[in-house]
Amino acid sequence: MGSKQQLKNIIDNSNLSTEDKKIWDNFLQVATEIQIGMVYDFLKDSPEELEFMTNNLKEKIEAAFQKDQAKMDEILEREKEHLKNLE
Amino acid sequence: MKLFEKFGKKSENSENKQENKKNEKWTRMYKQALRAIGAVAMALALHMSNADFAHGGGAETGVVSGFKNAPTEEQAQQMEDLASQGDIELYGVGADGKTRRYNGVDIGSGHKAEINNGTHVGSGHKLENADANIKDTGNKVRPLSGSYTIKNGPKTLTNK
Repeated sequence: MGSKQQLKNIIDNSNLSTEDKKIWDNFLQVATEIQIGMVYDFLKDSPEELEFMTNNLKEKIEAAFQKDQAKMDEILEREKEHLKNLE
Repeated sequence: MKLFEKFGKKSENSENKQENKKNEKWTRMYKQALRAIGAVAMALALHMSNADFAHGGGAETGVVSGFKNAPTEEQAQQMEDLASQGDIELYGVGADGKTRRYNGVDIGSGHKAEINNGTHVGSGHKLENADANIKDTGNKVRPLSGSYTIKNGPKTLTNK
């Protein structure tokens, strides 16, 4: 089974809302194999981070769609804080 | 779960160097995954900005991204044809996953706007509340923003 299907299984079997799962479906439709692999390789051992990553994905789409650099910078800053909090 | 609960407490002690390496690897993998998400998010946003309606093939469910400009007559006709083949539900899943505006009215995540058989979204028509059907008397498809999932549609709408 490829990374794409395996990542889809993680998402499908998660507690994410139907809407959030659809967003991941969109992700899987446009992501390259390498990008999918990076996300899957991480989530397979750390599924507890799926919720953060889902919010991260949604926020980045919105910021990019709105071409809002300040918002994107804010998201990246929150990523750093999140990682720091995990240490 | 805290990172160091997963792989052990960080320590300068040489005995724990292996754990620290694991921790570093975990952090690196997380950063890579977040970067991948960022790149795909950009692609999805671009997709949404440039999207047009076009028929895809065959699947029972599909995804259509919002588009900024009003669709052409041909695209409006495609939508009408699609609607005539069966009920189509457009779920208002915004790019932020929370709300999406339609004609100035918020469509909350999990709410739905329906295009029923034979009807389509009319330009200038207003969705009175998030769960209301979009009543149509017009013949133009209203530009949608955000990402919508078509459920129970006989065709998939994809982006050109």
